[in-house]
Amino acid sequence: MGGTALRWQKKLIFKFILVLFLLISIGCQTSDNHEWTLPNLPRPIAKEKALITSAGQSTDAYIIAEIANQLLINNTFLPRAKETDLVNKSSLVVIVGYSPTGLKAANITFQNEKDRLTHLLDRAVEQKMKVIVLHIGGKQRRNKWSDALLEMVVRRADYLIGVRSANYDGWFTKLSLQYNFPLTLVQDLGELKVPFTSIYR
Amino acid sequence: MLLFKLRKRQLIIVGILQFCLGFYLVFLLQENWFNVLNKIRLAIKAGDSGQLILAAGATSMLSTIQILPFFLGTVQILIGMPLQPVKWSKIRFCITLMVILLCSWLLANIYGWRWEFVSSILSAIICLYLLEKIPPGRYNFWQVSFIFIQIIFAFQWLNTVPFLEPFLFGRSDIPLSIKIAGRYLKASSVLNFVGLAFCIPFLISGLATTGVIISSAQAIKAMEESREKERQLRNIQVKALENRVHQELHSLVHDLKTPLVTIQGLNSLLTMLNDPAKITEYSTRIERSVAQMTEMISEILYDSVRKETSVVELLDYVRAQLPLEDQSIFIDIHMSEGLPCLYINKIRVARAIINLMENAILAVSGKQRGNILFSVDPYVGGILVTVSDNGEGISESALEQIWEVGYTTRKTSGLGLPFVKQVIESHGGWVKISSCLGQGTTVRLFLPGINACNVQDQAE
Repeated sequence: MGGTALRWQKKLIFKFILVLFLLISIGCQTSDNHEWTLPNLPRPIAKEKALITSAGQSTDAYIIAEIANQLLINNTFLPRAKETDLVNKSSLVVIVGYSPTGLKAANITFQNEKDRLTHLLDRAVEQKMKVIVLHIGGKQRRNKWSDALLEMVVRRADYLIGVRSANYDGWFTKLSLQYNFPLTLVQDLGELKVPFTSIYR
Repeated sequence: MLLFKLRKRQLIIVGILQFCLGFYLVFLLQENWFNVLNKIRLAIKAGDSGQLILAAGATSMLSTIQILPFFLGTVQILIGMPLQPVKWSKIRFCITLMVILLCSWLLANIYGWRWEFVSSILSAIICLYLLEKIPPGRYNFWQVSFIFIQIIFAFQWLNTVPFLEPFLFGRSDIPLSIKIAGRYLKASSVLNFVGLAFCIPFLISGLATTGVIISSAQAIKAMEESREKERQLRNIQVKALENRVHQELHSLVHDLKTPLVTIQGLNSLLTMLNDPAKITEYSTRIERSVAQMTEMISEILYDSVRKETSVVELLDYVRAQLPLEDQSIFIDIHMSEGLPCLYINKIRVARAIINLMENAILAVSGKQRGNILFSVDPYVGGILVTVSDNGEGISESALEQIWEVGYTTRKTSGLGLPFVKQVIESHGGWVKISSCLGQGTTVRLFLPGINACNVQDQAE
C-alpha cells in the first residue's frame, strides 16, 4: 500500500507541477498590443496645488504622495478625500488600487469607496480641475475591483500613468482610445518621476 | 495531550471546531493585519526597508496562523472518517486539497480575504506528503502541528519574494503591497534574500522534524514488536518446559508396572494358598507394593513431594533405567563411602541424572571406545555427582547457550539440560558443565544432604 501511495503521490505532484507551469506560461503571455503611449506629457496640463487621493485604499497612494513630496509638487494627501477637500485645489490625482485590508482599516465598504469617488470626481469636473489617474500596482493589482474603480475614474481622466505589466491585455490602451486621454506606461516605479513631473512642470 | 489518539468521532468534532476557529481567526487577527498595513505605510514614508521586512515577517506569521486550523481540521476529520486503508492516502490527498480550496473560496467570497493559491497548495502537498511518511497510528497532534507550522511558514515567506511573482506567488493584498513598496524603496533584492533566507531553513527544519518523528516512531514500533516477540518466545519456552516435564512423567508411568505385576502375581497365588502364615506374608507384601505405588504416584505428580532417600537407592533406580545396549560404551561407576542421605523427589532427580547420562552416551556413541565416568562423592554436606565422557566436547560459544530452552547441538528438543537445571535447583543444588572441544565434557551436579536440607527448611 505504501509503495502504491508513494507512486501515486509522485504522479500527482508531477501532474500538478505540469499544470502549474502551463498556467504560469499562459499567465505570462502578453498580447502584442499596439500601445499608443507617450513617454511623458509634452507640456504641463495641471496646476498646483494637487489633491492626492486613493481609489481602493491601497498603500500605492502613499508611494505617489511621497514621490510628489520629493518632486516638490505642492499637494495635500488625503486617502479618503471628500468633495469638500477640493477647495483651493487645482488638480486631482487619483491612485487606483483595490485593497480589502485598506478598506477594512478605513471602516468603509467597496460601495462607500465608489460613492466617495463619484462625488469627488463630479465636483472636480464641475470645478474644471484636471484629473490625473495612476495605476502603479502592475499586473497583480489588476482584479475585478481595481478594474471597476479604474474604469469609473478614467471616464473623467485627463492623463493616465500606469506600469507596463498592468497593460498585459491592452486594456489601458483601449481605455485611452475610448475616453481620449494620453497614456504613459512605465517599466517600473523608478521611471515614474519624469511623466509625473511633466504634468505640472 | 494526544488529540490524534482520541476516538474517531471526537476527532471529527475537534476537526470541525478547528474549522470554526479558522473562520473566527479572520476576525480576530484583523487588527494585526491593520498593523501590518501601517508598517508598510511607515516604510514608504520613512523610506525604511527594515519596516518592510518586519511587515513581511508579520504577514507570513499571520497567514500561517490563519491557514493552520484549516489544514489540521481537515486532516483530523479525515483521520476520524471510517475510510478503507487502501484508498486512504488517495482520498485524503484529494479531499484535503479540495477542502482547502473550498475554504479559501469561502473566505474570499464571504470576507474578501484573498487567498495565496500557489503557496497554500504547495505547503498542503508537502504537509500531506510528510504526514503520509509518519507510520499510521503514530500521529501526535503537537508533532504534526509543529511540522505543519514550519512548512506553512516557510511557503508563506515566498509570497513576499518579488522574483517569484511570475509564478503566482504573493497575489493577495498585503504581500502585493509589500512588494510594490519594495520596488519603490529599491528593496526588492533585500526582500528576495530575506524571503528565501527564512523559507529554506524552515523547510529543511520541517523535513528534519518529520525525519526525527518517523525514526522515533519506527524505533518505538520496533521496540514494541521486539517486546511482543520476547513475550511470545517466553510463553513458548514455558510451555515447552512444561511439556517436557509431562513427557518425563509419562515415561515414568511404566515404572508403576513393577509393583502392579508384584501385586497381580501375589494375588493369583493367594487364591491357591491355605496356609494362613503365607497369606499374611503375601498380604503384607501386597500392602507394601500399594504403599510404594502411592509414593511413586505422589512423586510423579507433585514436584514438592520429597522423601529421605539414600544415594544407593537413587543410583539403583538410575541404573535400572539406563539404556545400555551399545557394547562399545564403557561406563565406570564409582561411589565413595560415607555419603549422606538425600531429601529429594527421587523420581525427578533420577530423571535428571538419567538425562545427563543419556547425553554422555549420545556424546560417545559412534566412537570406537566410549568411556563414561560416573562418580558420586561427598561434598559440603551433600553429594557431588560427576558425569565425564570422552566425546567430541562442546565449543565455548555453545557452552554459554547450553542452558537456554530450545538450544541444542544435536537434533534433540533442547529441553534436557534446562529440565536438569530446574530439577536440581528446585532441590537447592546446582549443576555446572565444563568441556574441551575434541576431548570431552564433564558435568558436575551438587545435591544437598538431608542435614543441610533440614537446616535450610528451618531457616525458611
